[in-house]
Amino acid sequence: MSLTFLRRKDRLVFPLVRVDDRLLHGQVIVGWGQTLQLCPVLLVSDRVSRDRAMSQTFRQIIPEEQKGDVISLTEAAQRWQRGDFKGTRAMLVVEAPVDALKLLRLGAQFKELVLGGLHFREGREELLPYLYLSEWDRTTLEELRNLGVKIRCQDLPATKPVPYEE
Amino acid sequence: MVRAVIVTHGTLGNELMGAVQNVLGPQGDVDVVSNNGMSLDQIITAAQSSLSGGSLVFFVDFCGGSPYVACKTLQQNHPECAIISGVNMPMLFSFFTKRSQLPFKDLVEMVESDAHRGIQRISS
Repeated sequence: MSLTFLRRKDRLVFPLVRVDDRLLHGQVIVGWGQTLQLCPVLLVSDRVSRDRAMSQTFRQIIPEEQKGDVISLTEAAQRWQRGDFKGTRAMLVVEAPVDALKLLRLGAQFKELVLGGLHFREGREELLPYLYLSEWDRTTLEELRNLGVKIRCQDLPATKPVPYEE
Repeated sequence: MVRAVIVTHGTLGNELMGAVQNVLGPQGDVDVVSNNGMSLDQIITAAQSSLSGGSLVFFVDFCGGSPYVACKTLQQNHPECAIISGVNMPMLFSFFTKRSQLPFKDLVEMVESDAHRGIQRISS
């Protein structure tokens, strides 16, 4: 797919850091991964990386060419600082804004964050059909922005990104 | 009776089950779950409510989607439970017509091979 029609400010910045409460799933692996030949595709989660069965499930669904893995926040930050993702088309998926903030504080100096999917739950308000945010999410995102992170909402590469402004 | 739980993206499961019942007539012991608007945890909870403790086959649309991940998570604590991906009409025809005739293990093998046989290339 050609993405050259995207305006300069809409261009994707690699490595991509995505927030998604479905973690690794069709949109990530097929919608992004297969469309943009992403590699590696990493699930960055302390919760999942501690759970052997879940980690195994996620490792097993990632196509070989995407070189997927499930790693902790600390591990991801270390790899980032070591420069492992420089020049790659990597995607790091975290399950909540708070994990993105932790990742940044641990030393992964990402400049842009993609809100890809946070689904309806009691106490969350709709921003977009695929994005419901709690008060805590908003505070966390504000904090990320104050640390110089640009935040965009975009579920798929083919949909128009919406800047997060609240 | 072996239970069927069809877990898919969007309205696929409902539409598929509707089409299957147009051919076979009404079927019992079947649940359909959509992942629409749900986080992974919510899909797991939705599919979990279909579990009754007996034998069960999860039918999912493809290996790697959130329906698959949810079923894989639930499978770990369920004794006689299979997941078959790539759900299609021949697969469900096979399941509903053979589920009361075969032992569980034979049934899931048969359903898988019948589904494969349903895909054919017809060249001109």
